[in-house]
Amino acid sequence: MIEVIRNDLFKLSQKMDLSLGCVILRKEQLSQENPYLDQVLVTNVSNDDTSSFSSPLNKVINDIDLYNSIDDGDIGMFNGRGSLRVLLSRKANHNTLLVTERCDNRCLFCSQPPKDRDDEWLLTQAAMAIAAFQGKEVVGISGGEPLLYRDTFLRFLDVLSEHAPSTPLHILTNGRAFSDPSFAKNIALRCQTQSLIFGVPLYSAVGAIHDQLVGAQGAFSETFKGLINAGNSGIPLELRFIPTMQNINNIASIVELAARCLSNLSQLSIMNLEPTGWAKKNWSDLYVEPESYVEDLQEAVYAAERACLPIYLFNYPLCHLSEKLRSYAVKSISDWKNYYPEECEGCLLRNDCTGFFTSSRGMYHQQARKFI
Amino acid sequence: MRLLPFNFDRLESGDYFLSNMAGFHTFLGHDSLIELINFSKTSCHNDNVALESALFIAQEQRADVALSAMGSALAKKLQYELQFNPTFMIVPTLRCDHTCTYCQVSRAPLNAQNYDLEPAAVPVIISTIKKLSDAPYKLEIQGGEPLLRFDLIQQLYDEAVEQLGLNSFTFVIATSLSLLTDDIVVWAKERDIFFSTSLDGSALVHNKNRILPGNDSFQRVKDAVTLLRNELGEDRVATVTTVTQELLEHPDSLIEAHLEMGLNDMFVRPISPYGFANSKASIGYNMKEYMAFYERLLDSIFSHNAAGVPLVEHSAAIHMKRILNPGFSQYADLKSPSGFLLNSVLFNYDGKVYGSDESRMLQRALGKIDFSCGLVDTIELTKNDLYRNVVSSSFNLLHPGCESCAYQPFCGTDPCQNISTQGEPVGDKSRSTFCQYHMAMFRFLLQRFHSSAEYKMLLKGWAHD
Repeated sequence: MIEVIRNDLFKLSQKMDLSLGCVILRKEQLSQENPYLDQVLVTNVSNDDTSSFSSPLNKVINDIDLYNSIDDGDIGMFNGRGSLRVLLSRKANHNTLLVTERCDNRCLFCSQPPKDRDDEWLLTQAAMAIAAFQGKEVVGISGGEPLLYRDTFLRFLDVLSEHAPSTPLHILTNGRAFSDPSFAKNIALRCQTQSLIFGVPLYSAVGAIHDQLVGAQGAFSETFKGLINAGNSGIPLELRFIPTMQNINNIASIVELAARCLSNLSQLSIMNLEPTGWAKKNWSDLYVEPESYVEDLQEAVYAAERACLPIYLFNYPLCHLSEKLRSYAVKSISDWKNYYPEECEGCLLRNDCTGFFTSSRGMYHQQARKFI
Repeated sequence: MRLLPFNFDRLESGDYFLSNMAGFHTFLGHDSLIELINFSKTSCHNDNVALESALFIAQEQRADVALSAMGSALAKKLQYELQFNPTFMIVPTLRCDHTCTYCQVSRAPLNAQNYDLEPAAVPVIISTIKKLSDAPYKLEIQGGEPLLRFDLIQQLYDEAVEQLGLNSFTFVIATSLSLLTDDIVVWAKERDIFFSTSLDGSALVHNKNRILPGNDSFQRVKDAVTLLRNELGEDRVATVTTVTQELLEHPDSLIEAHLEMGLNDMFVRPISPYGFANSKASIGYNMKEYMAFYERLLDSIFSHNAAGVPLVEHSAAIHMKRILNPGFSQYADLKSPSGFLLNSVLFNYDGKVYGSDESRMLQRALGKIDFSCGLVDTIELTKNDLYRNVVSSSFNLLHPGCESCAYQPFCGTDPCQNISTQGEPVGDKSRSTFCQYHMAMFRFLLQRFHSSAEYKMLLKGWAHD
């Protein structure tokens, strides 16, 4: 078992009668009623001594590991199979909620392969979780394609602007929904009452290459029109790019296209491919070693800087980058899925480095490079 | 494939420079350009990818997106160029100790009366600046020779600290430095003061054009630059070079003059032909002769860089930034609409306010028309007919001659020069010195950029700075 920096899934040893759903995890006495979710007390008392507590009515979990992993007020979700996942954690470096598994793209490297079934209830549940959590840090909203349920998503934002107005949201979307100008306008209105930013991947300046990578004909047209509409109506945007064999020579062109045509861009993010989901089966057709496109990355960085656009490199172990590029790298891999292999022992840059995906273990692993 | 609108120009090498109104550019060989025009694509896959990425061509089914993208880019570009982001120039006195050959209109004799700013106007000027714009404010003290009234400069600075706030403005003094004293240095050292001065070549060339009674203008500027660099720091003094007839044959002497003072940054420009229709008669050379000089100069600067001396020429840098840097619209003399009023506001010694340094020169040359937008306490920026007319006549994409030019998206306009030489703000481009100069600069720089990887790297580096 590889050790991740923060574990988020706990197999509960005691028999619990709680069904699928979210709860607030309490380390102190259950205080007042919470209007959004049920509350569960987590104790560090060993299971054997306190069998009397473990009745579902009392809503008590005795689990030392869980107790040590959470803060009072974190949000957990029972998966209905005896495990609890810490969904929103005050200890985490980043929290993300999945609000649908449906998607209108079929990206060759999708980390969360879509399922085509009605799951609109996930948005409701996410709204409850965020409202109950009342965090001040950004919560990521991801899918699937979060904007697929157009009006339900607008209502989701309305609920949050009333019940969790100080929680900023980062929404990861393919942006196709914004190609409808009236939808873009409706989202723009909501940006005035809550801190919202939309992360939109654009994989090529050439439509055919983007469509091929996202597995959907016509996706580029909708995404790019969407980006134009969204930016011009004042919606804050982050543009995302994943280098693959199909698009590495095109990075600087994308940066220039974005810089000249799009408004309200607050950041460009270049993300190293993550060996998870469908990226695994397509790995050999997609993955390119960073060393082979360092110059393209450098060109992209210069192009962004000439346009005064902040640019960051995500998921790159520092030893895979040239020295010049290291200052653009972000310690980005979420703490529940990253680790540092043995080779990193003694590296001077370890504390500044994002490390590796746990999922890269095995055939997908890219060696740590020469000792820094 | 669908061909989208673009302009092109043939470079010296025979290759073509292409640009479109979204601000993209690319290069193509002659045969590829013919293919592109005939078949809406070339026979080279990589060229087609570059052309499609830069909105020169589009797949038929995506043509509507490409056109939206182009429209959005043009709107974004205009939005940047229309930003009101002026340098506020203040003229404490028009009097000057120099009698430079090329300064026809912007000076008064040393002992003349009534050419100084009233001290009572200082607080009004600063409060007007505060009303007009937002921090960070850019203040530039102009002349005449402003150091003749160091007392007014101090008053302007103190008033700016008082009204605008200590860290809310930059303060540049444009001066020949001939009157720099130890007191001024001590004062400047304790504050964030920058100096901009003239350096026109070696002692021989400089003194021939920048005339002082003691014929020692060069020695004075050299001593002053050295003193300022030692006392204040290397980045606190910059030079501007006005190229005169005497310098034309000696580009290397200009580089030496800069290196002699430890300066690696140069800013080299031709004389503006103000008030004269025939540039050869007024400035002593035509643009062809100027460019012959400039090409030798820049090639020499390139060789210095290759040998490890990191010289920068800022006119070239500005032209490259216009092409390579989306959103670069801060340089008042190379943008469209022109920088008149949008990027410069000048408070003259007599209390009048102008939209640029050039418009106050026009006032001196053509006294019958009022080129100001009023007095400092009664200015009317948006309702003044002449000002509305000048700004709205300065969009080059609508000018005959510019609309089909490959350099139009990166170039600018100078309505005051056109009024001065042709009597109206748009001007016939075939007779425009502004057009001749900038077109020649773009052609030359892009030829070097396109044909030499080392030159390209140098020019890109200057644009990136």
